[in-house]
Amino acid sequence: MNGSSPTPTNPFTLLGLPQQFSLDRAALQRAWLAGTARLHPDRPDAPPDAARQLAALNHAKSTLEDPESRANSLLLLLGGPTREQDKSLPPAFLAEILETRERMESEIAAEHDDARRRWERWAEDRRREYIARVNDLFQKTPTPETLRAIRTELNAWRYIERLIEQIEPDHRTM
Amino acid sequence: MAYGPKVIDHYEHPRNVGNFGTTADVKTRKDIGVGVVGAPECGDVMQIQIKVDPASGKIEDAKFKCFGCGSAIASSSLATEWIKGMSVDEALQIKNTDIVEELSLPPVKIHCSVLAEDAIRSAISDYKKKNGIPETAPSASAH
Repeated sequence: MNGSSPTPTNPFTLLGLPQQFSLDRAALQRAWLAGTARLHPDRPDAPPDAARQLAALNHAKSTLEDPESRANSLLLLLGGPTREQDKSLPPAFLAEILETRERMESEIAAEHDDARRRWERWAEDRRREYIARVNDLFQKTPTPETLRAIRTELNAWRYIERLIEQIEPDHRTM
Repeated sequence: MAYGPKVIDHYEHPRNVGNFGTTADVKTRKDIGVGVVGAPECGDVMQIQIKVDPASGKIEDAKFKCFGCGSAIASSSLATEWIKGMSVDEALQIKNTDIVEELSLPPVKIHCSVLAEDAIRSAISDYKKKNGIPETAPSASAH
């Protein structure tokens, strides 16, 4: 995923958007539409590598649309540590998430969709909290300390997104 | 389908699921070691608990709980099967590559086997700490 390509393309530049965490979704949509029109392979003036550029543009759009991947991308662009370089989590986080997952599992087994909906709301509240905290941190001067703090938040946030993926009854994918 | 029959078997019929009590319950039990680990790249979380017979120093029972993909579940299920009956130092010899080989895990799922190895080490380290046994294996702090 991140760091697999030596020079990661900057999704913000590619879409002509300011390099920041807070996103103007309407501006993103406009920039993407303009780009897809310009790169349409049927256009006589389309560049020879239009298909590759279009794929890059779509990838940039989906990176920015999702708040977690947008935060990860921005952190790396600011020179922050990757997940592999810094695996830090808030104190006692893993034990807490394990307990949460166990509670969620037994409630869903007993109450099915009622519990599922309740946990979806719970997880979305947590997601909103992570977005707010990460947003605050991105407002600060990007010192190594701040960037490490963002990494820790993003590491923890991943476990919440994973929980959301697995609330769905048909998540049983290998 | 890239998955071997052994992964699917452990995934569909996981061995030794559960625990000997919640983390709080077993905190003061000297015969129980608890290891909770997570995979930062995907957000999977895994716990292995070991129950050690104080007389023989052998792992008499092991339980796991894993919230993750099929390969992570299979890796931890297999790990608990393997370590039962081993001494704690024997269990420390288990390498993630042994799990990869046994389950024929594809390269993208190697981190699941690393997670299981980490969980074993972490549970043993907890057991040793509770009993004032010094850590012997120098690689125990590799992660």
